[in-house]
Amino acid sequence: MSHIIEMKNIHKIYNNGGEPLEALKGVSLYLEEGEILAIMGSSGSGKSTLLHILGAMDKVSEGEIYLNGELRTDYGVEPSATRIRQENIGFVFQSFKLITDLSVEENVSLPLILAGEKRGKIKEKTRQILRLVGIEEKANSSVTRLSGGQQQRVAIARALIGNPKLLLADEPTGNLDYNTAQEIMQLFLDMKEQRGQSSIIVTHDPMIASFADRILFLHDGRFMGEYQNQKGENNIDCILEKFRQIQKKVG
Amino acid sequence: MYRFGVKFLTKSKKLTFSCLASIFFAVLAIVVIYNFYFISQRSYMENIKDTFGDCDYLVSDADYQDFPENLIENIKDTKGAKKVSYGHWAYTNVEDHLVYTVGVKDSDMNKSRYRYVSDVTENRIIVNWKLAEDLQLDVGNKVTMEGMELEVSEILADDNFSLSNLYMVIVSMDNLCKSQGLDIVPNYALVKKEKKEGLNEVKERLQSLGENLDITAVEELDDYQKIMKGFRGFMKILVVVIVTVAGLLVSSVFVSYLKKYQGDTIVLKTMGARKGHILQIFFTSAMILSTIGCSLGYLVAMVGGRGVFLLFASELELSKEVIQMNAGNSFCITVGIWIAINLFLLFTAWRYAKKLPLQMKPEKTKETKIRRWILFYTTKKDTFISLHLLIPWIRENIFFLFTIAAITMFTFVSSAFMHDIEKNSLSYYKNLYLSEVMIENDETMSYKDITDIQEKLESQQKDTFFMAETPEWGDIIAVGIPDKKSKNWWDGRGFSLGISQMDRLYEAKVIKVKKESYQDCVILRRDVADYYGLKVGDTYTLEYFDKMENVEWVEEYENQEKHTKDLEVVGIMESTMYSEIVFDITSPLFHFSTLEDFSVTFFMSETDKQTESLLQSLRWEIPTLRWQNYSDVEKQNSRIMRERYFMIRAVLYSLALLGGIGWLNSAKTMLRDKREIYLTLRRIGISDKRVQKIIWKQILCYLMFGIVLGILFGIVAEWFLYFYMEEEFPGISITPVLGILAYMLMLAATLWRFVKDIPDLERIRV
Ligand SMILES: Nc1ncnc2c1ncn2[C@@H]1O[C@H](COP(=O)(O)OP(=O)(O)OP(=O)(O)O)[C@@H](O)[C@H]1O
Ligand SMILES: [Mg+2]
Repeated sequence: MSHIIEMKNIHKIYNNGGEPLEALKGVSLYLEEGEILAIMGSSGSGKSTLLHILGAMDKVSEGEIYLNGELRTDYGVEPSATRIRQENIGFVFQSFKLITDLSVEENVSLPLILAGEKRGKIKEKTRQILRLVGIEEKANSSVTRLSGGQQQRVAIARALIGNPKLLLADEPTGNLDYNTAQEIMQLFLDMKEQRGQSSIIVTHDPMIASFADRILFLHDGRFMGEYQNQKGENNIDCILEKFRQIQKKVG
Repeated sequence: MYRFGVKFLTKSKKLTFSCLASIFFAVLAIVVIYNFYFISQRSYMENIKDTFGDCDYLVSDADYQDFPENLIENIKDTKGAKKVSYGHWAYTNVEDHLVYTVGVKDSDMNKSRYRYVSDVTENRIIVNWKLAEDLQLDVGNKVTMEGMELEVSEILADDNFSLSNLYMVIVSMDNLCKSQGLDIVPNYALVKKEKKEGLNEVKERLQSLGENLDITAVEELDDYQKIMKGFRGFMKILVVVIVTVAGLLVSSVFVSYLKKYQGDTIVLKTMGARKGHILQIFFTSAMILSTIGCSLGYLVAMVGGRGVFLLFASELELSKEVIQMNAGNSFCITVGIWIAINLFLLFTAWRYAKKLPLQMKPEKTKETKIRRWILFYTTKKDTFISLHLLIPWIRENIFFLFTIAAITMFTFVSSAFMHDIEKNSLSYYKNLYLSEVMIENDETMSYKDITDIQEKLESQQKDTFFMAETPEWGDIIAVGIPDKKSKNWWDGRGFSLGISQMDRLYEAKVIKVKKESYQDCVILRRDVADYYGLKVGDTYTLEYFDKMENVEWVEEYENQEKHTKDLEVVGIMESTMYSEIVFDITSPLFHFSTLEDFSVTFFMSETDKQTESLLQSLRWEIPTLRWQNYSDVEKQNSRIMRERYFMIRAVLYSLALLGGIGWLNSAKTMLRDKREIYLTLRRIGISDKRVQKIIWKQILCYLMFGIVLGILFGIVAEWFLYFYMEEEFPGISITPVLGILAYMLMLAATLWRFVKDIPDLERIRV
């Protein structure tokens, strides 16, 4: 199977102000098509940093990134980064990041409008994707009137509308309650099953991670372990156990 | 993309509204004040013309002789003379009173010069209110002037003559000359020049018509110059104030507009938007906002401005005839503002468009830091938290802060200045009026005349005294202050001799030193005392020579014996009106009865009916006698001051009104932005009352920062100005700022509901 994205020996050093801070210290990963990958780690371990780099929102300090098997040295460098984001990547954030002044439909259709799609096509695709995430009937309401779960659905619809190869989510359920979080994760699974959507989800919640095919554990800018989810296992406990082991190992 | 620009506008109604409102009011204020500047300048001209007449030159004979034949024709034919009005003035007997009588030939410029409105036809007479009051005249009554019966057709309500207790009437020139048994010949003319002609050229041409002609150009009159200069300076300050404040206001509202969408632009960029997209969005909104705001502002200014000016015409000292909005120039100004706003916004939007796509971490670390920090401090001091949370906000909203500060500063400084100007001009009069009533005469008198009048006045009013000065020193030649450059005393400043009755001056509390006899005493003018370094009680040594016959040059005294006389300084006077040195009339140095050419001023503590009629009857001997009460002067002075005050206040308060609304909006945005933090406070277990208290503290601090900053700026500005003007610092009074403070507090109070809702956990979704 081909890799949608592959990173080799990524280093990221933040230089703004004060002392340089190495947030990523040689990280390598790959993502297969139709795979859901979870990245777990404690706070400050570099999860978001990694996700920014994956999302072409930031440059690497060192290392190689292959997109669809092709080495991209311009990954995260404007202006091609904008193109890469537009064509390949969808984002879902913890705090939804919807534009409150626009309706549900407008929020979802934003990436297509920005990409300069035709009106009719935008309309059609938007309806389709809203149906997919299950909030078709809310198309015209204001996003501020939706519940947290519904808002995240809108955000996911927005992330998916451009048919991105890669869906990136940073703590997508961080602002949601347990049940709603499960519903949202189910949505990720549905997307995988129905569309073969590949996703990378950052979280520190084992329950969320249990929906993934594979889990990578990040600690202090390095991957400290990997866990392959098996069907039928009590995943959450296993993940937690693995996570504890790693914690113990590093002290 | 344009659609989003519009969408943003229609969605965030409040922000759109405040943007529109601020542009609208800025345009309104600037256009109105622009027009106000010209209207009031024209009004001032009109008002001045009311005083001096709507003419450029006053022409009369230097010796009050009648005009020679043809002079009027010649004036009319003079190149550059546009209009000529003329007449004859004289003193006449009206009902046994000596009255300044103007016989007008035509009404044209005479009307504005003498401030009457009805035409003076056959048998008509216009009287000033002073005469009407004393003779109990009404319109329609009959009066006799020099045996001629005339009907009162109008009573002048505010003429300059009445203010000095002078009687004045206006009749036709024919009637005046006939009643006096004179040929019907004018003795004065009012001339208006063509606009394009130079003031001096026409004046010279007029002068060439007769050597003995006395030609006064109104514009060259000191009073006129002074008034215009003061007015222009005043208006310039107003314009600066308005442009500064309006500019600050518009920028601050726009910055908050951009800030509001900062988050959204970042999301858009993450979704794949390019710089161009972001610019398009903001450009659309900028165009819509500025176009609507500017055109509304322009229209309302054009339509409403006139109305407002008419409504406040009397408070603003505008004359109704000149109230006209200048549509063309105002339009240019509006377009200018429109361009400025769009450029500003585009420039700022450019900066925002360059922002990188979403990067969550730094915000988040800040958040956690704040959270940790809050936990640490809530257990201690709420005020400290409020301040700490506020400071970054204030840094971002510095424009608003400056708007409020600027308004406060201007209010502060202007009121201090007005106060000071009022005090100064009053103290000028106070120095002039040695007693409540001041009686002046334009003509000079001999010592004998003075004592005669003094006696008559004294018989009515015991505390009457006089102050007189003459350039001649009689039997002696006194040595004045020598010139700085030349050592010769005669090159220096000669003193004029002042005389008075010092015992009366003591009684009137003008001098403080009581003496049995004041014959060896002297009062010095402030500058002379300063020159010699003398105080009250010190000895001044007068140096003088005996006067010689037939000596033309003072230098010749150099070989004479110089006398000295020690005199005690019993008083120092501020006024520049009187002579440098004042002696008592008992001084043995002078033979007073031989002295002539005195300019004299009498003083008394009050006038009653009898004194008034005595004074009026004295006019038969001295027609130019006039008198005025200090309290009237004071009243008039404070009236003018009140008008100016009103104007400044109107401008500043309307700016404060706008600034306040802008402030309110920014405060709301602040609270909205910080909602997360407040909720965090609630989540960590702080009661909702306490969170509200913290919020209120922030609001009040945000409010006070601007005002306190304004006051500080004001004090500094005031201090600089006074330092620059070398005047004493007037002290600090914050009373004028209280109005603004009260208004701001009121606005803050409207946030009550808003604040109450903020920490309510249920209401706000997490
Ligand atoms: N823009 C930045 N500039 C400087 N340092 C940064 C920046 N972004 C992140 N860091 C630092 O890099 C390190 C890793 O941060 P990162 O956001 O990747 O952690 P995280 O795993 O996402 O944490 P959390 O679970 O709290 O979101 C942290 O020490 C953080 O302070
Ligand atoms: Mg993170």
